[in-house]
Amino acid sequence: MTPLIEVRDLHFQYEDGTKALEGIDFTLLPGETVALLGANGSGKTTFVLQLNGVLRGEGSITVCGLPLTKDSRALIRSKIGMVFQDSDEQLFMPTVLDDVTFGLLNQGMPEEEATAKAKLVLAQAGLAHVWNKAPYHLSAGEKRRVALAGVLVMEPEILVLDEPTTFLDPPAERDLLQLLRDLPQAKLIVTHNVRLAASLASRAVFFEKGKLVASGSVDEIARRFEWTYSDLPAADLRYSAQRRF
Amino acid sequence: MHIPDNFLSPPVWATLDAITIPALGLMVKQAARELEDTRVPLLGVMGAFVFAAQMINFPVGVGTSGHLVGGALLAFTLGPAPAVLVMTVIIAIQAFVFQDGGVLALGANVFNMAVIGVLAGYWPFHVWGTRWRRVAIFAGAFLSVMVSGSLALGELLMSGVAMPRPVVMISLALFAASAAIEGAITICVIQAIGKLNSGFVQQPRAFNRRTLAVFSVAAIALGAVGFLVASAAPDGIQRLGIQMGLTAKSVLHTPFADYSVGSSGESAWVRRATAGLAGLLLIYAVCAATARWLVRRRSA
Amino acid sequence: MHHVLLDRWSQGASPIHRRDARAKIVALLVFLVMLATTPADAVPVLVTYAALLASAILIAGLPLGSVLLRAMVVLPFSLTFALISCLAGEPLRALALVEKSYLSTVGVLLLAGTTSLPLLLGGLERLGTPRLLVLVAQFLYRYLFVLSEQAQHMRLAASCREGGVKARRKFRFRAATGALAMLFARSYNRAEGIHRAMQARGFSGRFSLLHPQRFGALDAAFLLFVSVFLVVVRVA
Repeated sequence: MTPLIEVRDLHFQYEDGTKALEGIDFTLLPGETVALLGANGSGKTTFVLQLNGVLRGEGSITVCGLPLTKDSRALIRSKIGMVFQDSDEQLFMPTVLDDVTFGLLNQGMPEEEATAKAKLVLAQAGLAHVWNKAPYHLSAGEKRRVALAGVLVMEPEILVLDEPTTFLDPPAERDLLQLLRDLPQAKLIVTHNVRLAASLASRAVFFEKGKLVASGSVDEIARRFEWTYSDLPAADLRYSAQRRF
Repeated sequence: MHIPDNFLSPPVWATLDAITIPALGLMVKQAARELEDTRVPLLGVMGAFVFAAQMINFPVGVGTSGHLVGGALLAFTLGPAPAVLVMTVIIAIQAFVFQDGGVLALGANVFNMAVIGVLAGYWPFHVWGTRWRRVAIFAGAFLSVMVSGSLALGELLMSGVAMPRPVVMISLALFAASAAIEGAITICVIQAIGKLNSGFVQQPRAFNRRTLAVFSVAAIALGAVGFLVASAAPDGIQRLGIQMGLTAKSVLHTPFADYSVGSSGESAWVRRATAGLAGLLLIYAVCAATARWLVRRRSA
Repeated sequence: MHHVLLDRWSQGASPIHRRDARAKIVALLVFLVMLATTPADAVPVLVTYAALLASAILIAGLPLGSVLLRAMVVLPFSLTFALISCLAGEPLRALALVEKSYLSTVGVLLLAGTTSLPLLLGGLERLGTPRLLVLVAQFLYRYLFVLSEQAQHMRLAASCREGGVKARRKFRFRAATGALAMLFARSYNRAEGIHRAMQARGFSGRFSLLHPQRFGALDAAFLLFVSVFLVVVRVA
């Protein structure tokens, strides 16, 4: 199977010289959901921002068979749909409809077609009633789903979600989980929420100080690095992982 | 100082609307050349920052507190042309959404605070910023408030709003106090911002554009004229007015008789004020023409 | 907060809300110019204008008392100058100043209360306002709520730590400075985050604005009726 994403020997350092990523090798296969785990500042978000060329490091990145270069960036950005951690940064247009059509208008779609398609996707996400609202009127959960809709409307092949459950209360988290489960795309999920990872991801990788130090099932990684909340035994994780796969 | 509608006389607000639009057009065109849409979010967010910043109170003594106006701060962190743009948007939003300042008076308010105020605030930084940085920042912030306030005062006087001398003096003193507060807040905040990330604050020499220098000098000149008019003691300008043959009637005698002048004691003063306005327009026209000529020369 | 309330008002569906923003903006400008050029002694004109505003507010379904109350924000300014005018011996001009500045504020409030800001900006752009200004205004307004909430939280947090003992002025000044610098940095970083989100969705260098409003016969009729009414009242 040709991998959807192939990363070889990726290095990246910030302007002040701090090394953010060192020698990252990574592969994403079609249909896979991979969880990216690791401490804050370990490089998870920096890594995913390399995949669509928002941050530029050294090394080779191939997305859907295309090497990431200046010319292929625009096309690759239409293949990777990224949901950012801060929904207020992602929903920067005045109304929900403006935001969901943003990507389509950038691709050159005419206004009427983009509006129709956006409204369809919003309806599918259960958000038909907010199309004319301003983002600051929405709850955290609604904002997250609008952000996802704005990405899904571009029909990406890969979904990248950066800490998708931040600020969500349990019902909103459940709704998001349900939505994500039903999506067919391959997914990369950066998360601290090991429960989420266990119920969605078939594989996990662990970042530590800019290096990718381990790869395995969510349960294995969680146990090896003690990446659980203290009151949740590892056994529970294994159960939920087995239920899913 | 945001002037509401119906304070300025129609000749004054209409003239200022007519001046500000081409001035803004020039600045927006320059900004659009430097910026592209990519910088729009930064400008918008910084504009929102100024609004939010105005909610934070700085205790300045005797139970009073002041707050940041922000024109100079924007100029020192974004550069003068973007700062003019952001201040313009801020003033427009203040007028429409917060009813702070009038809609017909937008030209006047934008002229005073966004164009002249910002440029006058940037000028000391541009000239002294490398060697006497702290003084330059304080002076810039001080000037931005002082100049815009004085201009507003001058415009009100020219409109025939009744303002006896003591009131004018008190207003100027209040402006000076606000200006000093702005200076204090700005210098402290700029230092704090610079500690967080030295890249946040502009390097003074980075903006070496002659157009801006010309405008900045004009801003100081205009501010000086405005101040003189407001203090009602411009003998030189009176002479200028007589030489130019302008009288109160020719400018203020309009169908809008609401602002006609009464006693003879006022007419001499009004002549001076008229002369002041004419002087402002003349200086502005010369500077605008020079600036346009310079810009054309650079691009040729 | 004021803009929060206004934002809510502008979400209504009255006949006035539904008019094209361009028609409403031009109608307001006509009103303001007519009002500005009304002589101080033309009391019937002012009264008629006031009645027009009041009926417009009622048609728009806005709370009359609340609108009139909010328009009073201009009164401290105008009453001060009116007082000086009175003392200078021009009571008629003083009264006119107060009345006219109040009415113009109500007019602007009516526009802002019946037109959501994105639509208002769209109308201004189509009337000739430079695109760059409109875009910056759009982003400013979008993040106005977010950042003012942040500033409020900072104020609250600071007051929680005051502990009842009035801290020395210098210390509080420094705390305010720190808060402002923090707000600045977070705003700047937020702008960077927005930029990345734009790039991730294929931003090509230029924003395309949606233009959902079309200027129809009803809008033209509205504008014509209002303008003619205002001019006739003023001239007659």
